[in-house]
Amino acid sequence: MTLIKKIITLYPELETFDFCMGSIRLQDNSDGNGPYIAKWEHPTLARPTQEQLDSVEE
Amino acid sequence: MAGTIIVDRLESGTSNITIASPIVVSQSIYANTGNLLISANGTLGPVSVANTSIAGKIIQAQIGAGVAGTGPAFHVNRENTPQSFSSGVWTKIQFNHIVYDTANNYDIITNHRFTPTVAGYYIFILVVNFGASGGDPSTSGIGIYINGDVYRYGPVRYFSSGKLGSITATYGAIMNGTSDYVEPFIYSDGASPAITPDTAQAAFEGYMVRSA
Repeated sequence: MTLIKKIITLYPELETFDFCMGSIRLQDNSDGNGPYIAKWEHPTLARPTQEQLDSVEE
Repeated sequence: MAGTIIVDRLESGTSNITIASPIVVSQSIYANTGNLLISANGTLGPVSVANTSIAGKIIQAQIGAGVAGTGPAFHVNRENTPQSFSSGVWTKIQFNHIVYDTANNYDIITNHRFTPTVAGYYIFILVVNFGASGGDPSTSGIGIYINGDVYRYGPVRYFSSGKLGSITATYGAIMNGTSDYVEPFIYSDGASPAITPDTAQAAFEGYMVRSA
């Protein structure tokens, strides 16, 4: 499951969120480490921990 | 001794000729090697600059306004294979072919970035073809990062249906000529986005437009 889908699974209210220009930015530096949360400045939702992300079933 | 000397040919053997008031009216002036120094129309012969402050050559910082220098310029593109990337993730574009890179400043192997070695003002042109993006994205865009952080987002396109073809953007930035680097990024929320390999529509260019 992709990172964005994991986040939306944890926070269904982000289904229509603008991940392109919004206060949450996911990033992949193409260095083999894969996507990660580069910025999380959402006014109400807490940044998910790695443990929470890992707990989302594939 | 003041006065005027008119001769057809003035030679001094191995010594220099010194003129206190240096007005020379001549068809041309030659060195004692026989090489032309100044022709009748004022054109200089082959000369070299011998000045300790500029070490025999004019460097970028010493050229005048309005003169194009030899600052770094590059053009890279994506060939042969698409670059797939994760939906909803700003992803660094991996261009894999160098068209030209005058100062060997673009790394297409490891870090996929341009690190110019001359300080100055640069313009960057990024074009990407989203044609291979699977599914119909609602949002697609491109941008550049400088030193690992967002410098410019956009353009970004929003769709109610359909998919994006190609998108082009131009950016300007000041680079310090040592550690500053620029990287191209892409975004799409299509189901399985990818950059179409296309020498004309998957390319990144940069040019120094003036020194710092």
